[in-house]
Amino acid sequence: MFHFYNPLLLLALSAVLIPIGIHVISRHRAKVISFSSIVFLEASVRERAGIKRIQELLTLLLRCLLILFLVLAASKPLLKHSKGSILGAGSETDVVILLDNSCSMGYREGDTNLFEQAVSMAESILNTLAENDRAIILTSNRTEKSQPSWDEATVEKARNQLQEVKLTLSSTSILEDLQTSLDMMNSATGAIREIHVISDFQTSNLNHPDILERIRSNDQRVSVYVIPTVKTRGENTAVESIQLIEPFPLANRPITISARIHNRGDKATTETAILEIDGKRKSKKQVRLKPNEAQNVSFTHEFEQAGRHYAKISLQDEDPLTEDNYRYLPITINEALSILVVDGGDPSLGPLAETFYLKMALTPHAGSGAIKPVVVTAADLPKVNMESFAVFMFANVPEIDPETLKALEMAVEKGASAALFLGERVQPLSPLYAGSALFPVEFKGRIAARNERSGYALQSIDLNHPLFRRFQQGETGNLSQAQFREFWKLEVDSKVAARTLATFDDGSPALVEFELGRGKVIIFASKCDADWSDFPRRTTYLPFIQQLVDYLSPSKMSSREFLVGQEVPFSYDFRDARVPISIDRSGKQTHRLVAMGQEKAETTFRETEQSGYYLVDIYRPDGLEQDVFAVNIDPAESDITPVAQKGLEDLVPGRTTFVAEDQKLPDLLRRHREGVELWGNMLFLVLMIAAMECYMANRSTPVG
Amino acid sequence: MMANLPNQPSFKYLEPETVAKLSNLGLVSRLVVEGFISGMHRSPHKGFSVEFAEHRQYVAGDDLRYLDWTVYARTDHFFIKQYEEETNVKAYILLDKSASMGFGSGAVTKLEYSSYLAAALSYLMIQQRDGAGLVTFDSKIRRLLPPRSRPTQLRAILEEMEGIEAGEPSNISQTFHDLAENIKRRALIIVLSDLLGDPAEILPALQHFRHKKHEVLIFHIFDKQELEFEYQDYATFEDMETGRQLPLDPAFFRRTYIERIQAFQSRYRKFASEQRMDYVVLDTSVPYDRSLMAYLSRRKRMSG
Repeated sequence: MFHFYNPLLLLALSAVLIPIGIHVISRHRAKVISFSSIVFLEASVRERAGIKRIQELLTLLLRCLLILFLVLAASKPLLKHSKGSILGAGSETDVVILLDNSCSMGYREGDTNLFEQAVSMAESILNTLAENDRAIILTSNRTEKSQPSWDEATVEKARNQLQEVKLTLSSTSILEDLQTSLDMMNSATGAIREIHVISDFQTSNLNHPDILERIRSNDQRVSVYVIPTVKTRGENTAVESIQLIEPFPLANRPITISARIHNRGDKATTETAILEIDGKRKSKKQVRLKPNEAQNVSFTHEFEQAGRHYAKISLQDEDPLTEDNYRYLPITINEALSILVVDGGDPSLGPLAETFYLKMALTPHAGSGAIKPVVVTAADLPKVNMESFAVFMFANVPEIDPETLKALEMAVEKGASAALFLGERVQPLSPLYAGSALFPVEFKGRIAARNERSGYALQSIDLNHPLFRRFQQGETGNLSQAQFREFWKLEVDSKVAARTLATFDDGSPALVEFELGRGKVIIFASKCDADWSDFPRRTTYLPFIQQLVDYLSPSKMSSREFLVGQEVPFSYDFRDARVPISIDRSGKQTHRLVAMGQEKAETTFRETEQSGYYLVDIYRPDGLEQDVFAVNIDPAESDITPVAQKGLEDLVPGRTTFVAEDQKLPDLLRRHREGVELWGNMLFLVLMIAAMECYMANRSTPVG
Repeated sequence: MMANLPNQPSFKYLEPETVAKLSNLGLVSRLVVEGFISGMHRSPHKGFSVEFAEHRQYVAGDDLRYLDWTVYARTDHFFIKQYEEETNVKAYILLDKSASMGFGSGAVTKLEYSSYLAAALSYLMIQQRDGAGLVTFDSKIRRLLPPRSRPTQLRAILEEMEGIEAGEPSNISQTFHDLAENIKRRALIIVLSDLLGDPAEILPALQHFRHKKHEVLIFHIFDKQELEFEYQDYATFEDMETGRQLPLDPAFFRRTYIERIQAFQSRYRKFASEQRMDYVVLDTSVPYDRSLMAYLSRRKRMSG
């Protein structure tokens, strides 16, 4: 629909009659010239009159068009956007403002921060809207995600909503939110549909090719405005990660806490990292970082008491983005762990005993460690009080009498764990190995290498499994280097939900894991001494056994780490039970919730919008369990490098307008909403027609 | 001064525009011819009808200019070269006074230009003791002055052309046929006409003259606009002979018109060449002496 800024000028369209008039009059008022003979002229006319006539009409048409477009251009035409609804029920403009209130928006810029800048931009967008327009504010953080309805949306509500929007510590989800916004536009009715994305557009924001692909293939009639916040400095140093080096931290033993400090800025910096344990400052270290360099800083600390603790590593100096200058680590310090090691042979044989290497690996600190293994023979097993051990380890045990086996199975179901190393003494038909709940696998014979040199190696190792956590980066050696000369070929019962964690070269399972009740069972298809392999003599043996204990240790609490906005699940194996849970956030706020369910007692904690440590008390039917978890900000939020303009312009190809810093957004929007100004096009047409007219007029003398 | 510029005859006096201002045709003809002769002063041409006759003994009082020094060197006697003036040429000047000859875009019409040229030719011929006659015609012969070489003949011709005006539409072919039949003695036929008519009729008529052993000189008279057609504005063109009208954009049709005019001339030129006639296209904007030069160079070529 056309609109004209100077409609009165349209009256000048009557000037189109001028060339027509001249054309007609010139024919009637042509001067009469006496000529000697018109014979030759008549012949010429007969030959070319048709062409001449067409040329004349074409020239006349061009002149009429010239005047037409000249008048139209002078009238400043505007191609207005069509109305959304014929009945007029639709609003004029439907706007979604995607406001990034993620952690990185807290970046300070002078007296203000990027988020405040963004809010001010959002306000200026709302101010361009009229009463019958509709606007929705969509904040870019996961905890507040929902899809509002257009039915209730008004500009006033959006304005109120904007007042309530707060800066959060959450991760950015620009692309997902943009996708949501585009989906929302499906139900929009406005003639003009706009999505405004106000964000600092960190590079990491767009690293979702699948969502990007969906957005780009979207064919909605919507204008997307990309409005980046303005950041003049490029400084930011962050505590990017924090971890405990020891797999099984114990009281009164030094433990190492390592933090990765990353300089995300463009200047070299010297930072002081401070370690706090349970809220008390313990030590500090300096680290010098070049631009975009990351370094690990390690602290050693000794906990006096077992139980839940937390560590916090923070940077002393403030930078523009302070929220990533600290990070929490939940730590659970364990009491000494009682392990029952059952020797299938004679444990008194020293280096020849089945459990010699195993015991060495369990107690590398010669008895001062937290692991206290008790070694017994299979024959002594019935005399042992099963309940006083958390982990059972069987080394080449031939058989166990049914009663003891039953007691053992019950202990595992209650939460203890078992590791079974096989060997030549194993009696496949004994109750332990034939049909017991502890051994849901079948023997398929023994495999022996032809000679010493051609052993079997471990392969298909599930490095993502916690059991191999310390082998993921290869820092503690390569498990595949161990050579196994002999092992039992096992076949896992398909009815049991057992996992094969590693296999031998020939594909037969080497490590099988399954759960029994609340406990875990791991079966190793070879021996734990050096008879069948060189594994115990390799450097990988000790960390493997330590990690095995760490994994099997039932008393080890989860000490989980979450990102801001992530949900924290709680799940307990109690049927029809209510498990009250109390969560205390950094000593500031206490949340209470109850895990319940028919099969399992389950619940989810969602109030993780604040970073910090969270102390958890779980009132289980069988007693109080204490846990701790930490909530930290997404390390991606520390990367302040913005996406290049080109990348943003391609966000929704053909429909994206990049709003540069110096552009006046309200003016730009008003112009775009009013429609497409055509006077430039008209002038271009005038020029084109004028050129054509000159050409035509050159071919024949003007008619007028 | 003019004598020193043989190749640039005194067209200062002979521009048609200038000549047009002089009403006395006799003066005009003399100006034209004298201007032309003075231009020819040092040229090898001695006149188209002056020819060497014989030698005679030198007698006192003879002009030494005519002494034949070659003979003296051979014979040791003085001989004078004697020239015989040719008097046996009778020329008919056929002047077309049809309506179309009244056309003139400049200072002179084609008829006026032709008249001056006819006068000049007559003057020149009579001065050289040739017989000159005049025939004026349009749809038919209007006046016929048989050729005479007497000086009074020039006056008769000039009087005939004094105040001549374009008349009716031409009927060239019939006129020429009639003349060809009536001129008994071998003569020089000089045609001054625009020859506007059907060439299919006119060409046989011209051929008729040749058939009767006459020499034919065609001065094809064109106005500058007829040759170049440089009208710009849209106009209605009215035929001066038929009165028919044709509105058109002259610029658009210029190219095809000129092509047709050139084809028209080419047809006559080709015909003249085949029939051993002289054919000279004359543009009324060109000075008369140039036109005469064109004629004489043709004449020289034919006689040579």
